[in-house]
Amino acid sequence: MDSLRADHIGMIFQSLNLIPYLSGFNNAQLGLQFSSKRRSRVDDIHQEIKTLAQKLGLTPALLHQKPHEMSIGQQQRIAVIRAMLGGPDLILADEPTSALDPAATRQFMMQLNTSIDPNSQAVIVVSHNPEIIPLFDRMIFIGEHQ
Amino acid sequence: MIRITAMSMRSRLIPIALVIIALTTSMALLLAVDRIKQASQKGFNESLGGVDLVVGPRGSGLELILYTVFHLGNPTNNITTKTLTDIAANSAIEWVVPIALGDSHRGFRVISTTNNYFDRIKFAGDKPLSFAEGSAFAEMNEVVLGSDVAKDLRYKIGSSIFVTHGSESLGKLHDDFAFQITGILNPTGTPTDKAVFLSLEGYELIHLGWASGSQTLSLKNLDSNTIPRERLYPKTVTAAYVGLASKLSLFKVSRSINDYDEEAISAVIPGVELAKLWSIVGTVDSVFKLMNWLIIGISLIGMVTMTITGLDSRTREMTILRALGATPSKLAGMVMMETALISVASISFAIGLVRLLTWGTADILWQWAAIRIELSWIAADELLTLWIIVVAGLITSLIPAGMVYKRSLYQGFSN
Repeated sequence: MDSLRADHIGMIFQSLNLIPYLSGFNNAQLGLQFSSKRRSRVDDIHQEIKTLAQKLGLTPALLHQKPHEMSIGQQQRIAVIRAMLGGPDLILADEPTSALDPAATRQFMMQLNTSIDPNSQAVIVVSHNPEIIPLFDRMIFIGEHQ
Repeated sequence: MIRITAMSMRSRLIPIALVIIALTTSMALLLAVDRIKQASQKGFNESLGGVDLVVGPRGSGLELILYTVFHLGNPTNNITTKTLTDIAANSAIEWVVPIALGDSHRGFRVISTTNNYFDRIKFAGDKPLSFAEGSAFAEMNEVVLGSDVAKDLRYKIGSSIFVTHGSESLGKLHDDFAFQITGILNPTGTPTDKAVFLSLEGYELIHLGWASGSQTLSLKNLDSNTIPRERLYPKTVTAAYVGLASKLSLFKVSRSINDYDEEAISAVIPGVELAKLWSIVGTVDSVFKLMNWLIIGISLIGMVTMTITGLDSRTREMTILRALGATPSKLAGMVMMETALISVASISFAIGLVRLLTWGTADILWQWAAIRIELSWIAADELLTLWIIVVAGLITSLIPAGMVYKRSLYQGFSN
């Protein structure tokens, strides 16, 4: 179960995604820490993280900062890099935008969409926010919503 | 994983540093006490070399060794020189060096003996005594000083000194006869350094006219040259050091001396008596050691307590690692690695600290306690002790590691 999770699934949480004592770069790197499979798919970790950071609109300097020096949106983006590294098959995101304002939400979701490979990767997002619906192929309502 | 552990520890620097300080000091204490004990034991054992037997009045053998070799306590009885002559007739005995104790010079013991003392008595195994300046006494009015006596009292060759009657510095001065300093010995690290040596005849001379501790006759009105030297050879001495031709005859000779029936004397093997002494001291030593291990135990409990209280604030860190695919055993391993790093760091600091302390206090220890401590990093048996501590640390860290393992199986993000 643990190795399956490490090898195939990237996770993004609602908030408090990052380990406080590690820099942005080291937090992002954690995605590869527990999976040799994902590690083998990345040639140059530095380059890969930089490229992903660029796609998500993060400056290289930010990678050297600690989580408490970043905004929530920036922390969420680092978590996205961590989830994406080594190309896991499935990315699970639990309310990734609940801590973001509407403009930031839209931007964040766009960037998330552009950084995945639609042919080999799937993204499952749990959200309360109806605004992001248009960005997805499928949608399942859970509970008493219409 | 090591890197994450190290960075995690760095984020909790203050509590971890305090635990390391506690462990370091308790281990350093253990090492230092042990080293001082070993150094003092070694010093004691090496104080007297080349001597196979000490012959003295019948009584406690340990006491005999203590007052003859270590200048501790006072002799109770004397033995006659006639007896010594009888004993020396035994062909197994190579030499006999008689000593007479009782007087002092400004707090330093006076040992009156024959001048072959300097050839026969060794120290630290088989190192011979040697003269820094001058030579052994030849005349009745000559003295040889141990290195500390000369250094402390700033005496030079040729100075003249008086001897005090009795071992107290308040005793009456033998001010009617002056001794000339003819030799100063090199330092040995033994009680020899704190002794004043003079001839048996000179010693006998200054006690002429003394009865029951008070003087009835002064030497001032007497020309000591008129007394033939042979006449001054004492009738009694305190004890005698004996050297054998062959160690194999040690027990045979000592038995034959103990069986000597004209006087109540006994022959004592210095090493045997010292072993008795250490077995007495050993009890105190083991109590001290026990306390020391308790301190180390308490420090280890402190370390585990810190780790356990730290776990609550690390829930988030653990959960993230778990979500990223770290197995519960990996998280438990992280906690144990932390403990291992703390123990190893404490050990290195303790070794460094002890080295620094021994280096800094070597002179003081030597001057105050005559303990010559060796400057060394770590001995094999000390390393073993330290490994026991590391293993104990790892075993105690199984408690927080087990807690992490159990918690991480079910704990979610919400709490």
